[in-house]
Amino acid sequence: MESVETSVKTKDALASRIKKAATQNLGPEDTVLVWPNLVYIELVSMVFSLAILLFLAIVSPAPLEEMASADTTPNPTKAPWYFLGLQELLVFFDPWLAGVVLPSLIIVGLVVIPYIDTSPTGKGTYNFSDRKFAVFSFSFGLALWYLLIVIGVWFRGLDWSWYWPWDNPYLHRSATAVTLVDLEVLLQSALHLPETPLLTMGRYEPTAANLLTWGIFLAYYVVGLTIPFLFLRHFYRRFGFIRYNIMMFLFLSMMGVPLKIFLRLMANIKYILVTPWFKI
Amino acid sequence: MKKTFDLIYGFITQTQLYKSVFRHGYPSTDANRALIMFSNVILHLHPVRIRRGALKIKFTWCLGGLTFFFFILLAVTGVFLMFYYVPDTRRAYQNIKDLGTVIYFGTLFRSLHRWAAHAMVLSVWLHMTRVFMTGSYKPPREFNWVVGVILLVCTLLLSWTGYLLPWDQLALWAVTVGSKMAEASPLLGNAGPFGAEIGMTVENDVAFALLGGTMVGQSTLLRFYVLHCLALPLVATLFMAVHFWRIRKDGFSGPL
Amino acid sequence: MWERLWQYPYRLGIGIFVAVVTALLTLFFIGVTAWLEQTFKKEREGK
Repeated sequence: MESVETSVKTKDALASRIKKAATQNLGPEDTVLVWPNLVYIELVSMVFSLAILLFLAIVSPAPLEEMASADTTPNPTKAPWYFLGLQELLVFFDPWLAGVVLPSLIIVGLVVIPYIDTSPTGKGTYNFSDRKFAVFSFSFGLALWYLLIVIGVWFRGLDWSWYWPWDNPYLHRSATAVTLVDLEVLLQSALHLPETPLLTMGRYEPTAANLLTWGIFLAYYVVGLTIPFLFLRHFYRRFGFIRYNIMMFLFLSMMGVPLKIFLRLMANIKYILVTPWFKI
Repeated sequence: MKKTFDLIYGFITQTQLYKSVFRHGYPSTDANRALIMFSNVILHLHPVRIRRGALKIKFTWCLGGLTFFFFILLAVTGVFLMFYYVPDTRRAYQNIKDLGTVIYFGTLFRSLHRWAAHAMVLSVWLHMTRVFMTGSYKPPREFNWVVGVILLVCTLLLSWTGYLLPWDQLALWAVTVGSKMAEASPLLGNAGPFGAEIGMTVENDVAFALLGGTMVGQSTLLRFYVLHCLALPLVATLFMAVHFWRIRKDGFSGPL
Repeated sequence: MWERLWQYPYRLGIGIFVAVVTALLTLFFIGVTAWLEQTFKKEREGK
């Protein structure tokens, strides 16, 4: 009867699938019992770390400063160390960028990692040789994050000025007469562009220089997106259109952070792009 | 001597009382070692057998497990601290001072709580790094990575909300720095791009929702207390349950 | 424009510090991964 045949067929199919899955699992020769092997490792690591924490707690007890007072602001006011990276970014970026957009991009970037890097190479082993770009990007991001925290903890003092470790931390550093210019002002004087606005859109009246800065900002992303597409086509093909664009956007944004830091430090450029609503 | 001990032990383990609590013998035989993974609620998270390669400390450095351990430690020390702390701006600071002076073991528990917090932030970061470097986020483990990132954010938020509770200068101004950043959110904050255009003022934007007011004050303290002691731990526990469950389901990635 | 670059050697020092530390940390993380990769590979070959 047909129903018996089909049920036998599906049972066979099911049985062979189960067998296949079972044979892919390693046999008991390659496994060990969790008790005692894993459980003992866990116990030892817990005891060991507890011992270290107890030692630290006794040797360096939790600090307590004076009672909170809205009248006196301590100088400098520092966020907790794990947020000092973001607070350091505040020097170079406006609060909405440093405190909201960049952290959100970091979190979004972390979340999409497994949906962008789907190749099975190096799954389950430490691997750098087969995943150079991935490991490099992640390491670079980590390095930036750690660097900003290190600066925030040890190199920032009164008025959030830069203090080398050998500087006197109690001496106020006079705000060195640093005149910061926006990129558009720089371009305007360097290229002798007219000062009259080219367009008028309500509050926003961009000059030629302003539009040029828009061009530069967008060109950074456009050029960055197209260069690997043109010259490293296999790289592009590995990811496909959507993944490639998301990944390169995040990568370029990440690279943009030290780039802007350098422009500020070396060329005293404050803002790349200025509009009445936001400044980058 | 050993004979009497064995006699007593043998007698006790045959009593109804003992057998009702411990349903089988001590895991010194392979059968009992397998059984205990099913009969013990804490251990039932583990499989009975595990691949030899997954045990290598050089692979995981026990970082995930340590993060969980630090969380438990923080919960335990936190409960102790909760007995002596009132989230009132007029009393909080004195409570912390009392912990440091008149309460037995107060300094120890508070310092342990603080150090475990730093350790947990550090270990969760290192754990994420390890998982990335070993490619253990690749399919089919993508969603577990996402849950892990959520846990990372939970850890940082737990740390940040706890920072305010001592109500000292460091706490107040560290949180003010953070709330100033929230004020500058695009669209949601009154001081951020396009915020004013939408109608965000200092009294209805996202910073107001976070602080319960326009400045860090009593409402903020209570809000952060509830977040730190109840809401965020519950959320973190929920996501940890998913995280550990996923590891069991997908299997431990690791060298063969 | 070049005067702008060299006018503040103080800031040049900071810039060099940022670049060098970023490079060192990046190489450190990559190096740890590569070293662990080699250690595990050797172990597997040794088997």
